[in-house]
Amino acid sequence: MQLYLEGLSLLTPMVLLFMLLGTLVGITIGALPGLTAMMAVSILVPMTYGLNPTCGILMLLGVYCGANYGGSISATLINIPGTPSAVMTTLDAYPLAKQGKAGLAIGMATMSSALGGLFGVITLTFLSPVIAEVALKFTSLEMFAVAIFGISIIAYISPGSTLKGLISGVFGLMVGTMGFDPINGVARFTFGSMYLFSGIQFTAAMIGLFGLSEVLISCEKKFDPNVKPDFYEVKNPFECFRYLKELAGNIIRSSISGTIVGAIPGAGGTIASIVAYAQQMKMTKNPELMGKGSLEGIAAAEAANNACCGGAMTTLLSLGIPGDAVTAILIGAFVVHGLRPGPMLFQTNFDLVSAIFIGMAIINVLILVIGLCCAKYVARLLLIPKPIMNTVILILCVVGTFGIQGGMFDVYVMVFFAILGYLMSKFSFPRAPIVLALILGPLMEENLRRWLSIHEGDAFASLFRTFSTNPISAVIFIVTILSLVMPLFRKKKGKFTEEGIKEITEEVNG
Amino acid sequence: MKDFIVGLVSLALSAFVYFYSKTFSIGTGGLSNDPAYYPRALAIIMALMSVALIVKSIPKLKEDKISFEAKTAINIGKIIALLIAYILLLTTLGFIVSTLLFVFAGIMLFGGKISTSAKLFIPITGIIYVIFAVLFKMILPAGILF
Repeated sequence: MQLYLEGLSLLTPMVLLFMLLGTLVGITIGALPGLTAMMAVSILVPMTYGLNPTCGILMLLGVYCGANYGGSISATLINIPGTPSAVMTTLDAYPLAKQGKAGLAIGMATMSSALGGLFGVITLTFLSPVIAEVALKFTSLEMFAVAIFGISIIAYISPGSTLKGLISGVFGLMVGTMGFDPINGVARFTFGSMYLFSGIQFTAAMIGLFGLSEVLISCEKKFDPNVKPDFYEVKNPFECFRYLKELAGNIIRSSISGTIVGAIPGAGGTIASIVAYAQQMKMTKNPELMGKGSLEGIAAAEAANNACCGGAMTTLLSLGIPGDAVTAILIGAFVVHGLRPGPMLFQTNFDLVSAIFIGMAIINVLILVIGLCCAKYVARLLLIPKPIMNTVILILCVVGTFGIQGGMFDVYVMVFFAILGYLMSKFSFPRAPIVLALILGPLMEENLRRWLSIHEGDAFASLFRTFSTNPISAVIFIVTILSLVMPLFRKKKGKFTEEGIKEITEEVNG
Repeated sequence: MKDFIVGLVSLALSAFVYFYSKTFSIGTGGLSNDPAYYPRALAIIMALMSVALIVKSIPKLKEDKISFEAKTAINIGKIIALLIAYILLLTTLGFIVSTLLFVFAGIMLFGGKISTSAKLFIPITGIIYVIFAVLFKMILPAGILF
């Protein structure tokens, strides 16, 4: 009980203010296509240096959760998911908007997001201390197993081609080797530059790969100031509460899937919403309505993508391993204040962990209130002309990257990755695996090599001995092998196969 | 066609990584001690996957051509050039001046009208400055001016 109340003392009015700010910013960023949670969190992490840790981290969590919800606003009104995790929401929300029910769609998305998010936080609160206890006993072998499991998820997050996704992932692993070798400190791939001694700055690469490159991609279509997008009025979103009872089962089921997917290192909101939507399609009594304006579809997708936040944070806080790409960037927020997420955090910064639990619950309530009352105002931002938007984003990317270490080298790294990201997108090459690989790669290498050097000579014998005394790593390895092999057996046709998901994403992205 | 090119590029990259790793290899020690072992293993894995990709793409060589429009390429080129100019100016002219210039040029480059640029370049720079330098207390690049 103490764990859950310690945090209250950290939640000062300043912290609450920044949480509100973060949630508002997150919802806005989420609602604007082209701006993603990853970009926003990357840019904001260096800026939290001047704030106290609770303020900074909770503000970023507000951005994270808010953005996962915010994507549904543009998904409903202009059929473009504001963030990738809203891809499935477009399928039902936009048809509803065309039927004049944009308010209901947004209300449903808001309600489901808040409830899903709260479910995720409850899981986080009760499960993470338990996992952290177990994780304290983790050796390098278990950490290696979890890291390699996370990397194997790359096979799932690459719509269109597992092979290209894996190549992209291996490229990320290679980039992760730049800098000092973790075991003997030898400089690798530094090309004589002292700036590369500590390797490529993760945040700079992310801002380039997912922020700046999106601007370049969006510039391919010439901006016509005379074209105004179709826009639907948001009337009476509170109507959604009428449907709460009948959709309760759906929301709970989707929240559970979302939390589990979020907890798996590497898998995030997009996969969570796809899994939940697919699940709902199988369970619904009205399958013909799904995809044409079904409230069930919206509820499933949105509950899952927000529950995912709680799941991802569970893995981050209890194991120190990011549950998804955004939580990977969130690690930076802890590091900026000299903290390290993981089981030790529960021992040394009890109160911060507790503040995170309580804070995230408050954030989800804020999402409910802000979403229901202000969605229509946030929606107005969709009318900001692209030239202004793009110019501001470019400046934010440069300033944000500069803020990481106060140096221009990171900015050059960002530009390099931006051009790379743009080219990758032109050649239909997935970029997401690089994020996972950059974070999990060094973790994987360090733990594997450390374990091998301890058990020099009788590695296999030690391995079998460990499996028999402590089977956690064996279980994780088996699941990893299964997850690498499963895509080979995936059905070739149908909506939720590789081809199907690729089609949906392409259709929605235009 | 797209996949074929990517396959070739990644094959070349894996060859580069494999051979360049020799420069920091200590020769012995296997995976646990030799810093070059892991990158080389990655290079081999990537080479195998690149070959698989190349082979897979050969039957589709004629399809999937990269749509290359000179206009788009020039546009993207201009944006990157402006961005690099902004970054270089930041250290000489400082944040405020460079951003003022960038916003003015940027809005027009992205397709906006000069009147929009003229109306907005000061307020936008001002708001960004206040948010970053004042609210977040970030240290922004300073040049010879301010």
